[in-house]
Amino acid sequence: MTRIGNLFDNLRRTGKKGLIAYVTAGDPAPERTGGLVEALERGGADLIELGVPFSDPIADGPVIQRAGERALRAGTTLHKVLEIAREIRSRSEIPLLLFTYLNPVLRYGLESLAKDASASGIDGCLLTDASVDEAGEYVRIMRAAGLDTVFLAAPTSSPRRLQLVAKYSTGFVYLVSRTGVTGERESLSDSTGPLVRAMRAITQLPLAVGFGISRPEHVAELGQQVEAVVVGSAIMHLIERNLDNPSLEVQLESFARELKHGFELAKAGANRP
Amino acid sequence: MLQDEDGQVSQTHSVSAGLDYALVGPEHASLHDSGRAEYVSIDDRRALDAARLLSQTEGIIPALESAHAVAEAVSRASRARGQIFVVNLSGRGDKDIDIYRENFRELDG
Repeated sequence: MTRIGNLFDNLRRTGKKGLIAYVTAGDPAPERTGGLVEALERGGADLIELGVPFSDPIADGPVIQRAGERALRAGTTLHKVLEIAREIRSRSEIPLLLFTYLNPVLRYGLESLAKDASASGIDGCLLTDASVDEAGEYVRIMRAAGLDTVFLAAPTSSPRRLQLVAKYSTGFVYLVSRTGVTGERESLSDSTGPLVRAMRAITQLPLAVGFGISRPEHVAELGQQVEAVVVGSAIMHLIERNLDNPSLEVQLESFARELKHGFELAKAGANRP
Repeated sequence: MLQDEDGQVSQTHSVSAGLDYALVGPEHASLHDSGRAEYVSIDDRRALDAARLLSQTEGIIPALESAHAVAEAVSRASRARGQIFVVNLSGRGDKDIDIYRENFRELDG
């Protein structure tokens, strides 16, 4: 079992929920990512999604698009991201999920990536734009290297596709809370409930919800339905607003703490008579 | 797909919007790989000149994209007298008039 599996086991046993933090590796520079991840971990992040910047991020809104652009300008490549992961791993046991579009992986070579990612201390992989219908070989290769494969389930996914997601996912299943691209939202969509129910009916895997989550209130509400909550754009937006601010890491830690506290808000709410 | 060594999609340029794109569709890729079709490249200048040639000799203003095919046909035809060439003129040039105007200023009044 990977660190991802262990995390969700521990969360279940202790009755806690997980905060998953997404960061675009290399934004604003590859040397900074380790420190930013550390700050998120100190603030309570339980799992880090390390985003690999890509020239054509079709699933991402403007915030993460810009983060990717900055990271690419700073010379970030998939090779570099694996180095960053190795550096993080040398100081931390936090579960790491490689979050990437397919083409850089195809270029790197699936077998090579599986081997190198595993050696870097990465625990799993999520391919944003890879079709689950054609995932057989990818899953086989990742599994052989001891890596989890996380897939996305969306409100628009057909029942057949949800079955494939359930079949090929290990570690957890990532539920996309709404249609559209990544980006912070004021309020959560109504599509999440039905999607959670549909996945619960076909898998025992832990569920995490992401896209649009930017506030503790969101975490509180979703935390009642799933095992973990993913925050991405809100984190990258904070980084973007503080690129030259020496207190960025402090702010990031604070923000993570605030978000994590959202789970407590939910409990407090539930305990009200 | 045109890409760098890290798998990032390349920047492209073509005077024609329809061809200013880094990817090739699966049908063309298949035709190329099976040898049923041959693919050549034409630069902006040759495409523009072919568009002007067709306009002036036949009164047909081609789309810039189609002008690339016209350029290749004209180039091959001179070495294949007596043969019949079929050119798929995939579009009209009304949409490209401003670009023709910019590139053929000498024709403007």
